[in-house]
Amino acid sequence: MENPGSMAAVAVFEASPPHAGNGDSDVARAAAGDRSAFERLYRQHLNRVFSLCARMVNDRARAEELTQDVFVRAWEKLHLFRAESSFATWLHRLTVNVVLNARKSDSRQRTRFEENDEDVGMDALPGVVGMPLAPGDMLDLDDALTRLPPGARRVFVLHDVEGYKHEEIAEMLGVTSGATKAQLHRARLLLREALNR
Amino acid sequence: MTNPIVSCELFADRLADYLERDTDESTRAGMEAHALSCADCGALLADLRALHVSAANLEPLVPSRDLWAGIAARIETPVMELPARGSTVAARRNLRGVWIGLAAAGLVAITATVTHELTKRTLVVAAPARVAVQPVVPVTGPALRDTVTSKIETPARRAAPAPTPERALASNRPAQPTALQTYDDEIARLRVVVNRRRPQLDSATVSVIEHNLKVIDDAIAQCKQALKKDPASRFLMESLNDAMDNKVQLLRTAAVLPTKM
Repeated sequence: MENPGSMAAVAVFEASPPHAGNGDSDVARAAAGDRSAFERLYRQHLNRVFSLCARMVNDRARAEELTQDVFVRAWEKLHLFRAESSFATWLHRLTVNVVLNARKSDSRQRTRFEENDEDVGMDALPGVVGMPLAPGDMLDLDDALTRLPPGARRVFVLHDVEGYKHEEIAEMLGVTSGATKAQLHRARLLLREALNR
Repeated sequence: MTNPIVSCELFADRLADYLERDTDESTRAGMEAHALSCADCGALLADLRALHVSAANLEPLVPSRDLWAGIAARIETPVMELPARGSTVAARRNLRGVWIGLAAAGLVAITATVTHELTKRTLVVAAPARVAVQPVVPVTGPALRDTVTSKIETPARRAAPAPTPERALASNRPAQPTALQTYDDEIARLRVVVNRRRPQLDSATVSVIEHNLKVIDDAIAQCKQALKKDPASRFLMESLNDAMDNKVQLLRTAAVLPTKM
């Protein structure tokens, strides 16, 4: 396995374009109906919201749709935001909810294939979670993530990428924290295997 | 490959708990000792730790296009919110009543005075009164949120204080029983005025008025009939409201037509 530095570039997670307004005041202004302030919030948080969506659903076009859904939802719900947590934390949780709700409605329209793949391993679903790798091909972590089974990928993204606790993830997903721990360990082992090829 | 305390199998078995800090101190010490003494298990532990660090530092992904235009369009575009799933038929019927009630309330507010004036005057009116009969009652209150076409509310609007007593009264008023009655009463009053004016109007004009009234009455009857089968249909409610409004408008126009020369 490569060292952490080469496995994935270390970057500041909140990389965002510069914005004109102060974050807190923009939140207050947006809550009062100021669309310009809300647009600044959008530009400030876009990449983080999109990243979460993209890594959770493994489909960039769908992730773009979900990102739009998240911000529309945020606009509608902004009056419920209380400064007990940061706006970023609030928006992040909103993003998770939107993605998980979309997953439920999407899965009703698709076959149950994704939901039944929890026992398979990496590369077991070519064309669904990724094409099989030729031996010796190198992957970066984001590529490897796309090849995880959906259940394991969701837990890994929420825990290791986004920093949620098992209890929180279990509540979001409607499973036990024991189940999320098992999924996380399985995801890590599958990723290690993929990254070490 | 084995440690006196922890074997490779045991190490693998307890690795998840170890990484989650769900093991007791003695087990942790045994795991760490084994990782130091076993190259394979040591590499596995190092890789998983590195993976954890890398995951927490993943670069943000960037969408392929600017998504703001789509968002802005959605937060500015009028939307028609549908009733919540699972709402009862009774509730939907009530919504219908509220909707028609609003229109009727607007009608009363705006046209009652006009009709009164028309009735009071000696029917010598120079030109039709140009008063809109569309509902202008403030659209507020939770009961109306699911029944009207409106823009997505801004956070500020949603956070607005509770409705004033007048608004609350308006939204709590039993709209359904009085709504159609309100229209009918208004139409009846206008009918009286028009009937009085009939001798003063050209027969061809009266014929056109009566023909148009029949067309509107047929439309009203069809809407009412269809609403019996589909009481939640917004289209039918709107059609009924339009037909009622048209009838009022036509009668008002007829009431103020100039006398034949």
